[in-house]
Amino acid sequence: MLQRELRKLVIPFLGPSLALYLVIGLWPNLEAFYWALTEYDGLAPIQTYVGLENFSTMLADRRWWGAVNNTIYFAIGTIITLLPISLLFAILIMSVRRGREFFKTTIYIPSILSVVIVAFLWVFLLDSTIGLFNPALKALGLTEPLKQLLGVNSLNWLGHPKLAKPTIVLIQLWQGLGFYTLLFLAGLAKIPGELLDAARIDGAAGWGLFRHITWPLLFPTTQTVLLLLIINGVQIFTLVYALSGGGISPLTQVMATYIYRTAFTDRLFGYATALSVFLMAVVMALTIVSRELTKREAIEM
Amino acid sequence: MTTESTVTPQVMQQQRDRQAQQDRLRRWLTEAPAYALLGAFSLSAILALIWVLLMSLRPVKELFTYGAWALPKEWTLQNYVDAWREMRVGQYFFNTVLYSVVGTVGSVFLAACTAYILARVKFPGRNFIYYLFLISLMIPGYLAMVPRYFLMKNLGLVDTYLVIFLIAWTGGLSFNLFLLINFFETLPTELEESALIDGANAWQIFWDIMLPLARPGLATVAIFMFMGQWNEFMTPLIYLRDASKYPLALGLQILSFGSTYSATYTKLFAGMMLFIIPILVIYLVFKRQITEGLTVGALKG
Amino acid sequence: MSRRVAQLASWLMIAAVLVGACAPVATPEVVVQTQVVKETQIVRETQVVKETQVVVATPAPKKVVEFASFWSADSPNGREMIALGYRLEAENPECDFVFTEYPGAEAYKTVNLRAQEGDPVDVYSGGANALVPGGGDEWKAGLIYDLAADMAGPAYNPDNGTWIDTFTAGARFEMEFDGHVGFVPANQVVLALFYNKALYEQYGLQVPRTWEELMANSEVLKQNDVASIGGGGFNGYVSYWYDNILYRLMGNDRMYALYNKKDPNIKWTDPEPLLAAQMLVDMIKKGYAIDGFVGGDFAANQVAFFTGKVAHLYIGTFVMGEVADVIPDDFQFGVTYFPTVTGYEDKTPYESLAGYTNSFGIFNAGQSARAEHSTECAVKYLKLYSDKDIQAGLVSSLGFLSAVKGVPGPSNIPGVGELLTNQKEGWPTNQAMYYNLDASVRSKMWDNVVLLASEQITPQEFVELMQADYDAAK
Repeated sequence: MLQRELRKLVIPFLGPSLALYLVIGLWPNLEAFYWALTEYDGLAPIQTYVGLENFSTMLADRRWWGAVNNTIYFAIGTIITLLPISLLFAILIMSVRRGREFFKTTIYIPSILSVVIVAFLWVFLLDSTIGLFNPALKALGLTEPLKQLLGVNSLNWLGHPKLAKPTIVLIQLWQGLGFYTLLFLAGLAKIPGELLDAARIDGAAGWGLFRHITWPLLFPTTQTVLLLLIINGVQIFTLVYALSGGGISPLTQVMATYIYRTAFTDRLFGYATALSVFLMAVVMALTIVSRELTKREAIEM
Repeated sequence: MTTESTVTPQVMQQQRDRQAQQDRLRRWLTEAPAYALLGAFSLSAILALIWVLLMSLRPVKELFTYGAWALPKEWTLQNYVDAWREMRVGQYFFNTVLYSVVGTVGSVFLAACTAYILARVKFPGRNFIYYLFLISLMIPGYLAMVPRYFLMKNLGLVDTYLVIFLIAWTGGLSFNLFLLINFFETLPTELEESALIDGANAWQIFWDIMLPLARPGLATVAIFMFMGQWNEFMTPLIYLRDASKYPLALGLQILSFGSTYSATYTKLFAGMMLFIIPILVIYLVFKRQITEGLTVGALKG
Repeated sequence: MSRRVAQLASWLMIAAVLVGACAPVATPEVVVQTQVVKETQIVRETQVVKETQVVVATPAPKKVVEFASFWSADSPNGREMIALGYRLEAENPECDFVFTEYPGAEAYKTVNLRAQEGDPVDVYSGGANALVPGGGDEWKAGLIYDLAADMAGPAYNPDNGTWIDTFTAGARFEMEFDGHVGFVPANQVVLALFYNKALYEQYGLQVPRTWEELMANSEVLKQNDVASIGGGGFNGYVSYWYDNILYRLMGNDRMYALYNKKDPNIKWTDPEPLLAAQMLVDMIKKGYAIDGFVGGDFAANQVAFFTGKVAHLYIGTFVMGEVADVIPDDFQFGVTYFPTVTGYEDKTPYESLAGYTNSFGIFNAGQSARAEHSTECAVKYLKLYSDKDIQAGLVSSLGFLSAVKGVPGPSNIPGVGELLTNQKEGWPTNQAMYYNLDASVRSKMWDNVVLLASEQITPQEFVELMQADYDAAK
């Protein structure tokens, strides 16, 4: 009865969304596999089929592999900084007695800001002329020691080849920390309090408590965080784009920005799509691999 | 004589006090690093915003004469006036509100209708359609970038408001469905049954009974869609041409790096404040929903 | 309550759809039919279905001249261009001036895409990256109107002779190509070495004539903890330094042949390109350049000079418009020629300036499906703009360097008039490669220079990469 009545809604409710989704959401994805085999400059009336030529061009394109390299650097750099630090911050927030709400609130502020805003903020903070950072270092007499420590001849944070990539990783850390800390906090909140109390009565404390109780129970959260970091890391675009105003130097060029430039600046639409097919394959492979790896470890626990 | 009987409790009291003091001290010492770390990060987030605010309240010439560390000597709102009028931030602001509101309302409505059907109505092909919608969650957005652009171009939609809406409505659809289907599935069937017996038709059951019940889920989806739309950068970058249609994220990018307005940093900072304030207010008002929704979203997905 | 909200929400939705639906109405409907031919090709047949115009008995429809502006309508430049538009309308009642803003560094891309899609603006005010005649992709695609015939006709004021004759030789070098004229110069820009007079006096430095003297000055400044070389920041500005060194080593003709792949015997792996790379790297390695020279914010780099944080800036005269607001009142600076290199003085006259013109291009209205646009009105507008008297007025209010002969120079750059008077050779910066090679060569070169300047590759590797990119270029 109810079902028969409700079925009246199937066409009017499902129809529009399914139509929109199929045409705008899904179909272009399928079309992409054809586009990847063609050459098109957006001007000519003809889209030429070129077979696998785009992929062989890709293999020989050193700018692309430079971008792939940088992307890997950013993804790994973000994982090895964000994952442990956000976990640490979550535990610290749980452990403090006062100001828990305050810390939760403020720590998440960078994450709600637009990436564009975060990028501007850091461009200006780090600028040697109008920024806060370098004048402060100079006033404290830290400029020279820092230069020696880092082995650079200038504290050109976003331009020096030794500094540009780590700086971007740190900016990502600053922006992402709140988000991932809150994820870990949610994971920690799921751990039953009795379990921790029981473990404490049994004499577990500090590192032992973490190693044997918290960490294994937090594992599903860690797995999620890792997956998010990988997927988001490989697809990084806006931060790199906004930090450089579109004139991205090869020092920080990443896969997504290179695909965008190939398509909309160089107007090699077919080639750009071939590159994005490659990007998709990478994302899928990494997703599967990380799922498999963490699954095995979870069983060991 | 009388002293002895009175001193003993005093001594005990003193000992207790000392003990408590030591406890406090120890606790404080163990927690101090936690406070230091959390405090430093929180401070960096707050100070960054305050810095942007201060910079936006001073004349640009002051910035170059006294440097970034100096407090404004002359306070002015002129930057806001100039940014709003001259630099078109007012137009960008209006566009951003339009994209965010229409994008959010449309996608929540679309997702609610579709999710309701998929969660509560049994019909042939339901599972197939469900998985069809979920496929998109696996595919990185860059794959369809070029084909979708040409689809929109051939439909004559490039550089229209509609294209931004359409992409907002379909872009988050899969993820919103995923959340809302889970939500609808938890609602009891009895309410629908009794509404049917009371003579309600399918639309009334959905609109008057089920949708109000789904409010918490809808709110989560709405808040996230809104924040995502407010900060959206790539869609307008690809699809919009006419600067009068730009949202703030793209408009500020142009203001920052387009040589047209170079060295008008303080105005740019005023523009940044106008971008930050609404999202900050929304965050502070809906803090609980945002942080809870975030964990629901991420940990399930 | 919730019902109200929901109702409101649905109304908003409907309103949104209406607003969105109205937007594309103005553009004609394009029907694209796709059919597969021989499995290997997709042929796109584009049929343009014209809107049926309902013409009511009204005065003759006005012809639109749409001006795509790099400047905002409220900026000094924007206001002047709009004022000229009013004048055009007053003098030519059939013309209807429309001002559309396209701000930002990548605006030219946007405007070009609009042209490709058959809905071009009429006049585009471009920066240095804008429409370059001759070899640009847009030119090759037939999107740009050839002004040659109009240029041969009289100027706005016929007393000034033909239109083309009113422009300076430097501007004509860029405008004309194989008998075609690609654009009307908006203004011209020359690049010069700016130096801080106060710092020069303080450390007893002489204005450098040679590269070695510039490096010696830089060493003195470095000893005193003052950055010497500024004016990088943006990828292309780092390239300017390379271009100039190479120009001094090779001379104009050979460098032009190299950049434009004109002579197979002149290669990137020749001694001069390598030496220029070594000189650039050497300068950076010695720590003479300001911190943001590679990869910093370019406006900040310029501001650094005008606030005394760096002693030199190599930049175009356009810089004055950008930093006018921030220059402290007592700031003293001079301009000079880019230094020559000892042993290579015979390659180029000392008194030479690199430069280029900012351009106003006209898109072919014939491309457009919209019959209401008028190329004639666009031409009239630009004739008006480049009139000698009007230019003089614009220069006094906007302070640029006019490309029209006999118009006085701006007063805000002390000494630039002298440089121009004594100038023996003018040459275009690396944008000249637009004439013959596809546009991506330039961004590739910038990539390579950034890699070189940030010591990611050696000078030897740099010239090899350049050669490889040139071998691949069309």
